[in-house]
Parts: sequence; C-alpha cells; structure tokens
Amino acid sequence: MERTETFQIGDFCFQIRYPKEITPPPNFMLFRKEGAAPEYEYEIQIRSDFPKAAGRQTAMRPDLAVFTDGNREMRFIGVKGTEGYYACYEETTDRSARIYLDPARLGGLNIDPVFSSLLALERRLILRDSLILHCAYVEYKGKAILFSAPSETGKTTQANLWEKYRGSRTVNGDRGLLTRKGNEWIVQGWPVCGTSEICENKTMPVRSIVMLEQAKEDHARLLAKGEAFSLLYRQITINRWNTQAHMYAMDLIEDVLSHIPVYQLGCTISRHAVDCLDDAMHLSC
Amino acid sequence: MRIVKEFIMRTVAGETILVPTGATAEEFNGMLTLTETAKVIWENLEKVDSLDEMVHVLTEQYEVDEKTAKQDTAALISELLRIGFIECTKEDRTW
Repeated sequence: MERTETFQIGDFCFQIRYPKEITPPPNFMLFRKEGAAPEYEYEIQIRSDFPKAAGRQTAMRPDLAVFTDGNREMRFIGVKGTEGYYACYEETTDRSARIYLDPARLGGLNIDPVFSSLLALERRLILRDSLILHCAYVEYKGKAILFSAPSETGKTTQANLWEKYRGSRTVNGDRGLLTRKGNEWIVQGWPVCGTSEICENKTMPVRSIVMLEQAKEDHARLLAKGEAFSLLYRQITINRWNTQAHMYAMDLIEDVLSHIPVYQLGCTISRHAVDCLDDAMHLSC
Repeated sequence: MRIVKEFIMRTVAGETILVPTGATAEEFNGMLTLTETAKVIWENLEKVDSLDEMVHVLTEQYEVDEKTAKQDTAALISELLRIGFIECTKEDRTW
C-alpha cells in the first residue's frame, strides 16, 4: 500500500508518494500542506539494486555522488562515516524524481537530514530565490535574528542566551530558509533542526544576520559587504558542482547583503555577549 | 601558463574574489581574495608567454618598478603552481 501527501517548504509545493514502510520524520510532517497544488512529484520505492549511474560525474564526496545528464541529476546518497549509499535519487522529468531506498537501511530515515536529503530540495529552492542558511533562527519582537556559524561554534548557546535575557524565541536551532520576496528577504522554516530539536514552520521578516565566532572578550560590529559575503557564503548550502546554480546563489547572497545588515559577534557565553550585540544592532537602526 | 582548475571570478563590494566551482569546489573550500595586481596577473596568465611579458603588462598599467613587479609576479606564480591552480605550458617550465 502507498501513501501520497503534499508538502510545502518555502515556496516549493511538492507531492511525495511513498510505501507504507516509510514514515517521514515528525519535523518534516510539519510542512504537510493539504489541498495545495503540487508543482513537483517524488516517488519513493524500496529496492536493493539501485539503477546504474547515468551521465557525467559532477561531484564525488564520501556521502554523495552526483551525475549530470543535460538538465537532469542522479544522486547516490550516503551518510558520512558509513560505507555505501542508502538511497538513489533520479530525476525522471522536469517535474518529477524517483527515489530508491536500500531496504536494509530504512531505519535511519526518521533522522531529519537523512530524509530531507532524498529530495534535493536546494536544487528546487534556488529556482525560487531561496537559500538554506546554517543558522539558529530566533524570533525577536516579530522579526528574525539569524545566528550563523560553523557547527560547534555556539549558535544554540547564543540563541538560548537571547531567550533568557531578551525574551526571544528559537524557531529553528540549525537552519533557516532565506527567501527573496519582491524587494525584501524573509526567513521560512526548515524541516531539519540539528541537536536543538526546535523546529517550527514559521515565516517572518529578517532583522539581521549575525556571524558568530568564539572569543575571550565580547565584541560586535557591522560587517562590510565584502567581509560578510565570504562568511555567509560558507554557511549556505550551494551545489557548487552546478556552475549555473552556484553563480545564481552568489547573486542571491549579494542581494541578501544589500537588504539585511550582517554583524560579526565574537562572543563569550554570557549576558554581556547579548548586551554587546544588542548595542551594535541598535547603533545601526 | 594554463589555468587547470575551474573558478568563478567575481567582484563583491569592490573586492575581486576567485571562487572554486565545478569539480574544483570538491577539492578547495572557500575563496581567494585577489589584490588589484593579482587580478591583472590572473586575467593575463594564459594571454602572455613569459614572466617578462607579464611584468610588462603590469608596469604598463601601474606605477610600479620592474624589479618589484617581477618579484611580486614570480612569487604569486610560484604559489599558484604550488597549490596546483595553474601549470606551465613551456617545456623548460620557465612559463
């Protein structure tokens, strides 16, 4: 028996047809959208023998192999540190893809990124002027502050400090979807939340982006566009094997920088770090 | 010289950056910021035929003495060769 459900993530509305053995993770189910008209269809099948790779190999990482044939992509998807692939993703038309899952590795699919990686969402979202930012997405006075940094820097820690000392609220502890809407940028929810376990499907305008780094003393400043570009670029999911998508992502990052102030916060784990950033952000208002 | 890797050159807020793309992006993370003269050298790497020609290009465009231009160019070329972004096209490896 199969199930068919419609989801909307950012501005991308799609349908997934999947067998009863599969259960999308609870965070993914927050993005279910009944009654919406899907623009794209995914079909998930369980099959131990994946199809043969077709096309030119354009990326090869320990957890991902990508093959490109014209406009279509085929991916073999794995998990870092685990041998082999748990899934094969194959675009079948301009509006559909088929996903094959290894029956021996269905257990991991309840993990947010393991499931969402099946869908190559970033590939569809860049066409909708959207960028996936590695950040803690925090709501403060009706607008979002996005704390971005490499893993283990302390995004969740700063988000928690803002919650404690400013009464903000974390919407997603690990990712936000930046989307251009006309002449402004908003942030939307994302179905992966890392270890924070906080994940909401919520949209709001962006007040600022804060690039974090650990420091012995707190200091915050508004970054020049050139400095901000390089830091932000590293925290955005970009299919760099696809030069067209890569260039467009950089166009979008430049546009983000024209509309949203980006700060750098060198921080300790203290109330002072919150005050320091608050001061810097008010200075620019 | 020949550029053997794939890069996108881009100007962001007046700064020129080289961003690895395609297969090169799998090998090199991040991006390089080029000074004004490094940009000219990069743009002319495949157009000129010797270090002296490159120095001539630079001294034509900038108020820099030949000795300094030669030292700076040689240092950059040597670094680009070391990290494998470019390779010599002449058999004697002088360019």
